[in-house]
Amino acid sequence: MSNNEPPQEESSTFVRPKKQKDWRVVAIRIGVIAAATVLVCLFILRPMVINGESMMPTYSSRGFTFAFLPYFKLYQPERKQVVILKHAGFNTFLLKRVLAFPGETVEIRNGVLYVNGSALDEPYVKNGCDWNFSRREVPAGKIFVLGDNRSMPLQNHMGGMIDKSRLAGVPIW
Amino acid sequence: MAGLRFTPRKWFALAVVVLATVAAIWFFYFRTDDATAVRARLREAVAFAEKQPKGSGFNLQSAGAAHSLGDFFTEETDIEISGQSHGQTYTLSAATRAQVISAYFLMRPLLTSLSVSLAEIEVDFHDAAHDAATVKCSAMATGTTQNADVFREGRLITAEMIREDDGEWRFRSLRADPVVSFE
Repeated sequence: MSNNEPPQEESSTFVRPKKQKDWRVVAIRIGVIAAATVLVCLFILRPMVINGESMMPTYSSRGFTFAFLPYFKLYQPERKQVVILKHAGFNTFLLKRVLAFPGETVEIRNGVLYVNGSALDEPYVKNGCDWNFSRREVPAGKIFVLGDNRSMPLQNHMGGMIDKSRLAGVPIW
Repeated sequence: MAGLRFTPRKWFALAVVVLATVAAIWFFYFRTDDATAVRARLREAVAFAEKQPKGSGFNLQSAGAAHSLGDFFTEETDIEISGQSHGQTYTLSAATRAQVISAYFLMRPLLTSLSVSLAEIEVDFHDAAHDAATVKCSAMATGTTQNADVFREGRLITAEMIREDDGEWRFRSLRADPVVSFE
């Protein structure tokens, strides 16, 4: 064997283990990314399909959004803010707009919402209604919510007082 | 492979880990304390209340389901089921078990299918003997009516349950309120 020949044994020794290691690293990376995606989707940014027309035209039925779940651990709800509320179980949520807080009075006269006796400016309500709803106070621990679409009769609209503890998050768009 | 060669000490450690895992699974999923028994009874009642599309109409299957469901109620029961947000309330006060059975038997043919899922079940026992409890949970009912209308409605359930002499938990009262309501 001459001294000019390349060291073939050495090069083949290095190549094989490197290939095995790459496969394992890729598998581990995929696993970590999949686990992180599941955790993020369950606890931070939950993908949601909007089913229903109660928030039209702001959100159309069959639309899609993500719910930012930790929001209400950091902030308090604000008036006119669109929020996501736990309905029942872990897979069904309500998309509504917060309009009044505990201790405030709410009333609807000829489709106009009055909070503490003053008419609330609601530019997001595009279709008027003739709803009438007698004045009442929002109880402690509850908030008053409605959808933006008020074209249906009041008794067919899912809205009103709901426990503040059911606030689940906010849509990110 | 050197990594799989276990010394007795490693085998012992592995056995401890496996036993601890089995014990944890049993503790969280299979142990039968009173709260677990109440939850199981609640789910059992819901399973009888559910309905598959093939069992429509006034038939023996409906009668059987209604009779089985009746066994989940005490001889005198108060039932109050509120409609959606602003709707009417269905009330059955101090009803006998036979009245509960007949009410469900009459209601069942109105639905083609009914599926109910329970979540957030909380059991609060009234006394140390654990013979009476207040159960709260959220329920999502989905199904279709005879008119082919699809419904999907959530309710907050509050039930008073007692353990009767035969050891079975039964509803003394059952109340279903809308999650969001104008009242």
